[in-house]
Amino acid sequence: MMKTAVSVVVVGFAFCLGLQVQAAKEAAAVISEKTGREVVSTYSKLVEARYKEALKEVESLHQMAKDFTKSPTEEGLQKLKDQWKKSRLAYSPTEAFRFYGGPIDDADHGPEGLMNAWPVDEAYVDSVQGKVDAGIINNPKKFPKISKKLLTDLNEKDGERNISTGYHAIEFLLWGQDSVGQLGGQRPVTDYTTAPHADRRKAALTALTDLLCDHLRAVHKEWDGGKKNYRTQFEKMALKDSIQKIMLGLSTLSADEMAGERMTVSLELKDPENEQDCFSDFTLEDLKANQRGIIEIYEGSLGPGIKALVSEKDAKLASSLSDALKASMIGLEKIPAPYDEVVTGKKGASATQQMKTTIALLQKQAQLLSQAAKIYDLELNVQAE
Amino acid sequence: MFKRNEFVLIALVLMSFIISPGPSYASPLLPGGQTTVQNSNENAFSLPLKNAVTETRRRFAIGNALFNQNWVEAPASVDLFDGLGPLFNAQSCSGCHFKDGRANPLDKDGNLARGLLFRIQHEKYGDQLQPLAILGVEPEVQIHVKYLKIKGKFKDGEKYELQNPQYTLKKAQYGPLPKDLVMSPRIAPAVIGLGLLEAISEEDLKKNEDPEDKNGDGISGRANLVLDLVLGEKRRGRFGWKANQVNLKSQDAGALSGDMGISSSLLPEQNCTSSQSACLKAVTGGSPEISDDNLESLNVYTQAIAVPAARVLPEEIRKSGEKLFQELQCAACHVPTYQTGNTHALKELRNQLIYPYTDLLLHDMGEGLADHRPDFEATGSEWRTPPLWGLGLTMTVNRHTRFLHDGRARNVQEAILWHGGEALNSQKKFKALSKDQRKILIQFVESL
Repeated sequence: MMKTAVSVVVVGFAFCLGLQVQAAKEAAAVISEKTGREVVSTYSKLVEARYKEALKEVESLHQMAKDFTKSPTEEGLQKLKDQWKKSRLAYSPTEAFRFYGGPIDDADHGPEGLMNAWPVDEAYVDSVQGKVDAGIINNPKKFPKISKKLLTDLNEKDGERNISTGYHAIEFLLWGQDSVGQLGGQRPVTDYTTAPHADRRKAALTALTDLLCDHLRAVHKEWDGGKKNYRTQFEKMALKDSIQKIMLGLSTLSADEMAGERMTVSLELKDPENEQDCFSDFTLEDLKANQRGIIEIYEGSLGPGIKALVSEKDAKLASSLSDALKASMIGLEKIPAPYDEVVTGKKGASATQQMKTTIALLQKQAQLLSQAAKIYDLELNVQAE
Repeated sequence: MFKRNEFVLIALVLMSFIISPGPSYASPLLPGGQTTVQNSNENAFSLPLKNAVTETRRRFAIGNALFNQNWVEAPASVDLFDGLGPLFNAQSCSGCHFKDGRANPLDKDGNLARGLLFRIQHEKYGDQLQPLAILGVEPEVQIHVKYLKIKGKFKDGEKYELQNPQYTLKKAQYGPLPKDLVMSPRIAPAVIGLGLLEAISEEDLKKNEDPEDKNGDGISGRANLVLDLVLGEKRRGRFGWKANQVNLKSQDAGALSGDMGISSSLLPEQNCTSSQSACLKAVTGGSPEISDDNLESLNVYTQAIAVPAARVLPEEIRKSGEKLFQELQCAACHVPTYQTGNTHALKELRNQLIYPYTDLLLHDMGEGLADHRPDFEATGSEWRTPPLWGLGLTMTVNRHTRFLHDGRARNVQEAILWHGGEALNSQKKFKALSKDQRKILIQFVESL
């Protein structure tokens, strides 16, 4: 008797509870275990492969830097610059793995700030026009020994522009300051031979490329298969958490990084110093590589991507998202090089308009990603509409 | 045997117990309402409001760049950002509010860092000490700190140690400074959720005022009435350690001028006193040094930095923590929740249910924390209740847990133990808690 009563209460309770929740919001779909796990495993494989490639390219960069500093030549400097560009093309797609506290930017050890911070205050690192004595390189009294440790300690000290490590500090050491109208900076090879503190500059170059290898190696290790590492944890996590993380990376890179910090700022301030790859004028290529990174995660290059999950519940939205991602890519491709002339207005009104259009497209893609996440009741950082 | 409608009744009772949002001081997971972002990594304080519209995102991106920008001395080849100093505390906003977070008073070597500034009142030095200057101008002074240990005991016998800062001034360059110079140290706080605080209505702030302590709870709460630069009239101050700024635009202009030496249309003069001739003669970066358009972007940026989602605690810990928070009367000043008004310039900030845990009012915090320097209507022992949201992410974002107006507290517990004056009772109750209870209360505060 009592048992019946209790079960009726429970049923009644569950029923009301169900209604109540449904009234509060439309019932969220549950991520299908099978597809979800496949998506997560595909993603992990992709992350591992991309970091492996990025690591391989910076290892070559480091080797070349060592060779170059033994006998610096024009040719050697050019080879280094080409390799830097190759290493960026390998790294930029991995930026879609940021923004959720994974190995690249987790609070305790994530090296992202040491690898990819920008824009660099040039005078913090080396001489600039009108200030030959500027920077860490030209200050042996204060900083006697150039080392990985010193440059790490000084990175972002007393301000977010005080960048002394990572891709962009290396970029500055290779190209030097860029003035609008040139294709990149014109650092002479004599900076590595006869110029004051050439030895310290060489030491910085080898230390920084070495450091970049250390960081990428550590991040790759966390994603390597068959080990006890972040990947193990990530693949075991509740699907709503892992899928949310993946999508958070995609939408944050689109709206906040690419559309916001990378494009809006340089365009609105008409300031080439606020261009991400301002020394090499490689910004546009980096942006396209970022977008390729987003697309391969969404479409799924090694297996089912996020799209598979969206399709299961809303095929129309899934394909609109594919279209939106393509449209942003085309938008980026249509922006003429060099980027610094576009942002300063030298390329004319149509180039400026193309920037604005592309910014809007990237914001749109972030909104659609947010809408897709909503299907599964996942919170991203951009409003869906 | 129960009748069917009795089952429903029981079910409803059970349901309301489980589903009801709980008392109004609940710690919801979205402290910034619809503006809250999901981020608990080192960039947790650096994202725009989740619901930011395109124009806000545009301004935010520009403002963010301006916030991070290292200003340089004039003249410079890039003239957009020249005009640093002549006297200054830092080269950029982010130099103190690193990653939009809270400053550590000490650097790695244990010296005073840039993020701690000192308000004074002196004919030759003005109202703030600037330990840095451009080439050709003498920095005002060097400041050193030493911490004196204070020992104490909880009721259960466990010992604790607090540290009390003692500052000394060296190399004063513009004439001797009196030994008993009144100095008000102020650390750079985290800059999250400020737009939401700006969006709380004056009426709602007024509701918590109780200057005569009519309700007899030992806690007063006074508004600091401040002449506002933008409005040109007196309003309730909301920002700064003594609530001496009414809105964020004035706060931004004040920091640009006082901390970096950047002039704006709101504060067009160079920040030099009449005794500082080299400072007065130095080349400026134009007048003003920051354009109105850029000042507005900075304003929108400081309004639109989002509050990150709260950390999820096991339900029983959250509940007990919340109960202790109320029992100890923490919530009397750290008022948990508001509905923002509907008039803020950024529509994203309007009508949001927020949980900042502050009343934005002045309270006497006792002799231990007093700086003895009045600020508008704030006395030398009054401080504004700081918001608590996001506090638990300080370690994540800024790699330290230094709290209070001068960063003397090395963790939340020490910050609580420093509470005196109107908060003395709460502090005493805290000391009387068991170790487990203390831990739970701190966990609760760090989850907000």
